[in-house]
Amino acid sequence: MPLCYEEIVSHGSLGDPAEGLRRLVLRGSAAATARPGQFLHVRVSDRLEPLLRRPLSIAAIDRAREEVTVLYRVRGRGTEALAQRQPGERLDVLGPLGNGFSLPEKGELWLVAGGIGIFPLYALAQAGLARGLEVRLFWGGESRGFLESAGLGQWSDLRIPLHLSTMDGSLGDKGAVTVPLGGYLKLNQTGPAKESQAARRGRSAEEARAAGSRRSAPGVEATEAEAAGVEALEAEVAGVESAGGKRSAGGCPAGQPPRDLSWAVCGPRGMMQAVAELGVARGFRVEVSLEERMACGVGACLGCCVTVRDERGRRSKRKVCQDGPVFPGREVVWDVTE
Amino acid sequence: MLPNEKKEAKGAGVELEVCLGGLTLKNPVIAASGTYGFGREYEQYCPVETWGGIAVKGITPEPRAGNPAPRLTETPAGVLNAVGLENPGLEEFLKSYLPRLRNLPTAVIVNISGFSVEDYALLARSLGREAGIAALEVNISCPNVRHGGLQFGTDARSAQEVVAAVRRETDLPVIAKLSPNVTDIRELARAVERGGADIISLINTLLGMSIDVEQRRPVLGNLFGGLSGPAIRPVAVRMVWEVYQAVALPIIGMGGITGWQDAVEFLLAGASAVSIGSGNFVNPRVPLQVLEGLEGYCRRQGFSSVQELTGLAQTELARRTHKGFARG
Repeated sequence: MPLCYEEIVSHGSLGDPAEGLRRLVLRGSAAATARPGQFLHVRVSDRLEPLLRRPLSIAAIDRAREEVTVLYRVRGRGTEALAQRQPGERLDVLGPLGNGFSLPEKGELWLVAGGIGIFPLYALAQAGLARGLEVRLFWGGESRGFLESAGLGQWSDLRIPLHLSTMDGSLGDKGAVTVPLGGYLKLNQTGPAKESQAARRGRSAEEARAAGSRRSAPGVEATEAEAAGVEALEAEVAGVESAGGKRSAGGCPAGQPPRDLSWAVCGPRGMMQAVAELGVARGFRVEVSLEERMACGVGACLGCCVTVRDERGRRSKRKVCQDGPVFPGREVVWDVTE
Repeated sequence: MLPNEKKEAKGAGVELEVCLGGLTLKNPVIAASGTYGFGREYEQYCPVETWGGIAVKGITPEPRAGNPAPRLTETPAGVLNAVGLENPGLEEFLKSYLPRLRNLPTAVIVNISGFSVEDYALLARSLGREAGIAALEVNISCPNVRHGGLQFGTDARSAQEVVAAVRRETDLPVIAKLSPNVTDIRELARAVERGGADIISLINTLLGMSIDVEQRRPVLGNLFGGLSGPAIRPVAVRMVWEVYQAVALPIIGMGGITGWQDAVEFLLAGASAVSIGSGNFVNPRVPLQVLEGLEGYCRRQGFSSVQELTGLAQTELARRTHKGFARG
């Protein structure tokens, strides 16, 4: 029964208390079926204010101990009320809800996070590593202090390649996560050091052809806003390249048959849009975890609907709570103006 | 000996069945339209047969994509929503939804919305031919669509006209769902009674707005939305009270019910049944708790049927006033 009362095993600050991040470990039935990318719909208190449940993504799953870990940032009435709950108390929880990320059978899995969008990706990293995937993380945050508080140590323990950025430049590249991601794409997937000049030249030509055809790719309505987004990102990437100096040209051929590469993306909407467009244009399997204000959590109230389009460009609505929160990046309509 | 002790001594069960203008429900607790999808969404959390009835999401003749996000936001003890009548449209509803709804072990109430009197007539004509529908609820009070909806619900003549058009097309019990966004709810109640409604349900949401002070812009994509939840309950109870005095039609009361005491409050004010909406978002087991609480209340107070509660606060007041106990 996915309506359950989970026991709070531990609950406290995650990292520096000034960052306002919290770690909540729950024991109960949710762990048995939880998958990375799913969420719990939590009633934060027994009172009628705040009224609605809060959707909180699952950060780690420990089936053996019947525990799930939820990481969140205190921001607003709901999370403030939740932060008061003590170990030993029971939380009224609906879930696990939603579809979760799809875990590829093999190949590479790139995780791309902005800010606290990192939280649901940890469980996915663990699952990916357990399956033997090559997992790699791109993560941008405000500052070194934020990244360290939000779990950088645990990520380092996974011993996967980490590509970091901070807005203040205190750790990794300076800027959003699109900076290290774009930079790495430019460096190209196989590593430029082992690549011959000829091969690089050949691919550059291919890339130029593919780039020319990309915006008129069948089934993709390239709006002006979308095109502008890609251009802005390309400019950003170019900036990194010139600053980095040693980074070579080449990069991933846009529109080419993809390698066995999947992206899982979570973060602020603008960041996810930029990342998704980058990956989709290259033909990668991109999944984004969307966030929307939510009431019921089970697909009844239609409060959390987003616009998607199919391969023929036809638009329709999907429920973040039930059809998502994870959607294929190519299906999401980012700029809804209707 | 108090009356409740007499009942308990006899071990009498409490009759939960209610009859409202040709609509018989096994108990007086209904899922409010727009909060319960098409009846199946919550089935893992609360058995569908718990409900006396389920009012499904409002149907329009054509499919509707609804409003852009954000569609809802939380307000003090309330929810502000502007879903905008997203629904699959009549044809798809008949094809893909109604067959499953028919098999639900509860009374299925189909909520209908339109943008013209003809829209409502078309819906009533088509749905009136279908088996497995217990009643039609005429939504003349949606605040989240630009034309129609609320327009019909705030003008007495239009409200009467829409209800009369539905009445002409169907023999099903017709429920008129009233908007609270009016000066005098009694006027609208009398209008839908003249139009031939069998039952009145109220209240729909209160028109509201929320502004994000950091972004300095409205929170909802639609700017305005409908307010529901415990915050609106006193308004709803007052309106049920007024409508009970104004018309002879049975009333389905709703607005912020999250517990059995709230349901009893509506019944005492004059409702014959109640609907639960936003309360489901908070606690999907709320109908179970309301029914259990209602039964316990009746037993303790010595009522053998929940129907005895309807309007009791009004008759008690009249009695006391008559005896000179009441104020005024």
